[in-house]
Amino acid sequence: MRRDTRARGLLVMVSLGLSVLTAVAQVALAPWLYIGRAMPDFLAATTIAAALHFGPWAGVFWGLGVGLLADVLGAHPPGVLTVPLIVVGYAAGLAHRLVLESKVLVPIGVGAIGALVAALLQVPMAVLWGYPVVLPALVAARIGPQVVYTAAWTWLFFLVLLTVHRLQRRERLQF
Amino acid sequence: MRERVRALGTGVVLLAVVGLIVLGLMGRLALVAEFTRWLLTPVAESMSSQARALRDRLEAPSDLEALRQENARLREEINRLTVDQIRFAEIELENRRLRALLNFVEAHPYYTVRGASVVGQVIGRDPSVVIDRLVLNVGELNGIKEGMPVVTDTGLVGRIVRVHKTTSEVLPITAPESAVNAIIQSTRLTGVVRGQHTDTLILDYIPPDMPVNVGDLVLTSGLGSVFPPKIVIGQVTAVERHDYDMFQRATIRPTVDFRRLEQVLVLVDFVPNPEVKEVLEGTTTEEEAP
Repeated sequence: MRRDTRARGLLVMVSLGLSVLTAVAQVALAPWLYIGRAMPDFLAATTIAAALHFGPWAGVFWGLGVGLLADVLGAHPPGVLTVPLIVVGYAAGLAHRLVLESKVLVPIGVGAIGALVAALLQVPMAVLWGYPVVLPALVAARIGPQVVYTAAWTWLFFLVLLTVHRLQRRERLQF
Repeated sequence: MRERVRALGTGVVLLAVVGLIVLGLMGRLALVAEFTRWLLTPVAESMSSQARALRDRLEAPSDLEALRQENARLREEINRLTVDQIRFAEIELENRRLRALLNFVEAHPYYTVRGASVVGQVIGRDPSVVIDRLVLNVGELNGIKEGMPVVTDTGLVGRIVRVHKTTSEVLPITAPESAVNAIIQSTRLTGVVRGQHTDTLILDYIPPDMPVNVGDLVLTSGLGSVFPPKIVIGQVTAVERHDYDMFQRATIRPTVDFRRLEQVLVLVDFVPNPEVKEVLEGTTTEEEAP
């Protein structure tokens, strides 16, 4: 019981650290990882990867964590990122069982759809706060290229989670 | 039991989101945000510089290291000189034109850029795909204030819209909420430059019968007291003319490469001329103004 509590505490601490790192990476690192017009969306990619691996609630809480941090760190009003990420986290988590069928196509497919939805949901949030949006230009110049790039990152993050999980399981079996 | 945990989880999430938005609306998040930024800015700064260095390394052959350092030093120097250079060239043109036309002894530009500037580094961008903002590593402690124009050696970047203790936020001219009063250098036609999320800008409200040519240079006009005049914005790449439109529109390629933006200059001593501002706001007549 005590071991379980300690393990959970450790998981929460690691998750908090990783969510801070993800939010900072989105602000400071992602702008330098552009390919053409595309910039990766680490927030959506990690949220979808977590949701696919652990289920909808993990997606919701991860989305809430990184979304809150990014909202605080960013230069925009609160909720612009948190709300879309929570929605996408939950929805992507519903595809949790599909991952058993394909560990490549499902993360990439869900990653692409999730990144698209996360980006599009930011539009009404921004409009609600009074920001003007030129939707066709936004979709063509930013959201479109970003979706493809983010899908690839989702798969990468998903593979990392999968590898860590496998290593943990192997370690447990050895003990 | 599971249902209860799920309901509790939903409650926590909803409470957090609603609480966040309400606190944001009440302006109570500022302190938390300031503290978080203060805590994480060094991490972001270091991450950004590492990423930039990595990007540079990947894009340039390694034996050009010395050349790159020299290049960086020269760029800094150019940054310092370019604002003055652009101003001097324009003032010369302006002087010639005004003397010939109106026999002006001295030209009185609306705003003066005295060359004082703060060099800031772009340490990040807003994580939202919809909202365009750049984050600089200079803030209130460096004398930065809202409204200050931000430029580089190649042209106009935007203006400061929010200032924190050690960081500040820039509204780039590529953002749709940005509108810059502009003038075409060769023909002196005026218009408004607007952003549209993309790499290009739109110069709108150009009078319909006037010639606008591809390759024309577009500068800030200084009207509206938001930006000083004669800062380069970009070059015309296409012109749209329709019989049914009241105005012409031109597409502009900004001279600043926004994806590779590193060091910028914040013009800290740009002060709008109060008398001219009064004229613009209609509180005094033009005859009263000098």
